[in-house]
Amino acid sequence: MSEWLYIIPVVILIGTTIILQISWNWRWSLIALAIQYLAVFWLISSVWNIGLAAVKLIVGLTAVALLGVLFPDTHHDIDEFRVGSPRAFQLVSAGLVISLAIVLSVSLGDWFPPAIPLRLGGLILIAMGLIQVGITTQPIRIILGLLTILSGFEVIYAAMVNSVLVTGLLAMVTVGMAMVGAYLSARFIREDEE
Amino acid sequence: MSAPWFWIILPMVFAGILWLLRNNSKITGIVSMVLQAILAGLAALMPIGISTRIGPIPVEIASTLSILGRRLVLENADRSYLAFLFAVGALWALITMIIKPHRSVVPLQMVIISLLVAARAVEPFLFGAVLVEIAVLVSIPMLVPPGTRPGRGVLRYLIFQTLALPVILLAGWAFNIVQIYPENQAALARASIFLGLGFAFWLGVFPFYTWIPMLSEESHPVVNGFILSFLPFIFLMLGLDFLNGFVWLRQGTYLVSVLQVTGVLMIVTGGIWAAFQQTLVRMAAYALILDTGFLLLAISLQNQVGMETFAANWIPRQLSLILLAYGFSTLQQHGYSLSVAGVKGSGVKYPILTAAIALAFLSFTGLPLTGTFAIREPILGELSRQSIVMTVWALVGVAGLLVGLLRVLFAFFAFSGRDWRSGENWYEGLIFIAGMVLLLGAGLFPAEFFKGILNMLESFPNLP
Repeated sequence: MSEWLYIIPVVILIGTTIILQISWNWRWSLIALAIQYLAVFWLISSVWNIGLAAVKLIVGLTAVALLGVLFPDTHHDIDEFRVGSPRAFQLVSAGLVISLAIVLSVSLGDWFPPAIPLRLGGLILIAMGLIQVGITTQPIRIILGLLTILSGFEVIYAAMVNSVLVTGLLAMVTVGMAMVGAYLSARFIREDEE
Repeated sequence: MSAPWFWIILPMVFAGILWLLRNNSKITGIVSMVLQAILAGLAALMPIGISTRIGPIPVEIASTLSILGRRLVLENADRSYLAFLFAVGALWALITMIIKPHRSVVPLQMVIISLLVAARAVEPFLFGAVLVEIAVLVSIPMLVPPGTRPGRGVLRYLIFQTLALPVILLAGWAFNIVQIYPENQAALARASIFLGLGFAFWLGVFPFYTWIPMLSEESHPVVNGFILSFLPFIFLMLGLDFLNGFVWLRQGTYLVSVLQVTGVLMIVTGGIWAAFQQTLVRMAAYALILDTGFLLLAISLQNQVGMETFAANWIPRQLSLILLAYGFSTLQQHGYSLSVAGVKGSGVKYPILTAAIALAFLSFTGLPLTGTFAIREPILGELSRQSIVMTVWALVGVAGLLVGLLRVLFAFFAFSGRDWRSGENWYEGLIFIAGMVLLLGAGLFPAEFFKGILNMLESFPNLP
């Protein structure tokens, strides 16, 4: 019964990754990313205590906040920057990748010991993140994809290794990645060099 | 005081100070260069973990520093590696100070060096992967100056380096399982696959190296050269740490084949692609890929010759890289584009500069009189005993690079009817001549030049 409870965040993850994949609206993408971190927290709380799992949530929301605050073109949608890629194609590719992740989550039981919901959630995030970084050349979308991949890895890894220091260092990587995303996407006024 | 204070914390603290002073590139450059030269000298002279005396004062530098329950360990055997790393860092600081890519570069270089030293020093080793990723994130503002759009090469670099992080961490987890159940063949295979994939992403092993030429084309030669100088060095040292630490890994029958096939693929593709490149920077990137292939071949030999050539190769590689980065930047400053067509006739106006670039390229081919000849010859000799086919393919790769170099030489010395004159200023001439003397010196007197760096192998007592 309890395992079924953790299927709900997996369903949420499927939804958020699809939104991140097809959304052309920057605000919707950030909301999806925030909900994604909530679902990741839900999954990780099944194997860690709430306090440590909450670190992932807080760090994830910090990354979302950094991207939201530092990305300057909040009035513009992502479609302004995207290279043409029809939504239908993105939906089909997302469907195929999610199907593949479901199949792999069953067959890779020997490789990754976590329970099926964690394995499935993690693999969906990794696979959708890989698709995201593979089909775009826009820095901000690539950063969203990399954050998704890292979240997927953290879900799987949480069930295998419980280390406060690794959690802290991975938190630094997540926040650093968000800062790099904001830096790469921002149109900084060139500082007067030398 | 412990060794990590000197070679990890101190550079990090100075990086912070230099960040505050970054508007004055001369001061930041001089401070960074002097500090790194002092740290290199300290590593060469001061024993770690052994009591010694400076005059009447007894001194002992401890090897370990504990932070948050984890240990940073730099042992006496690491001194050669530290001395080499910081000496190379000092040279990059000098070049950066002269060329001035942009004002944040020097402090960020210090942060990256500090993080990379920490990545190798941290115990348990898996934390090193996270520190490397943080170093990669820090390098992004260096590669993409404020106000410019990131190119595809930078993004691919970020993607591949980030993909390495989870795979290496999973390898660390799998290694722990292997230690508990050493007979579990599935666990052995899993650990090897994770580790191999992680290092393939990190090093830019075939076919994951597309970002190297793209990054070289997009970013400033000095910044790009610095990244390609330090990251592969630390990655391969970490790789040797793994081989040194796990007997089942180095005795695995598949290891030699995987390293040899990958190495030869990198040599062949790197060399052949180099022949067809239209820009000098991309050609240099493929030359580096070829050189990394030779480093993998050296490790694959799994004997003393292989290990010694692996260690020795770093001196000509780093010297060539510094000469190329400085040469390309200087050519740009003199108004040349870095395409093969764009440098036509530059050899007539800047003979010392172009000779230095040509010699640096030549060094990657391993021809006689260059620093790499004494390294490539034994590698290819040993390889030919194991596989003639692979040796022939490796030579095909080298021939490809040579063809590329000939194209560059023709471009440099086109329009030879003009009057020859040396347009370099005094310090450019001095640096290029010093670089050429060192490269040729390494070729003429390899035993003397490579003696010091061979001590680097003391860090790996379990390797041949």
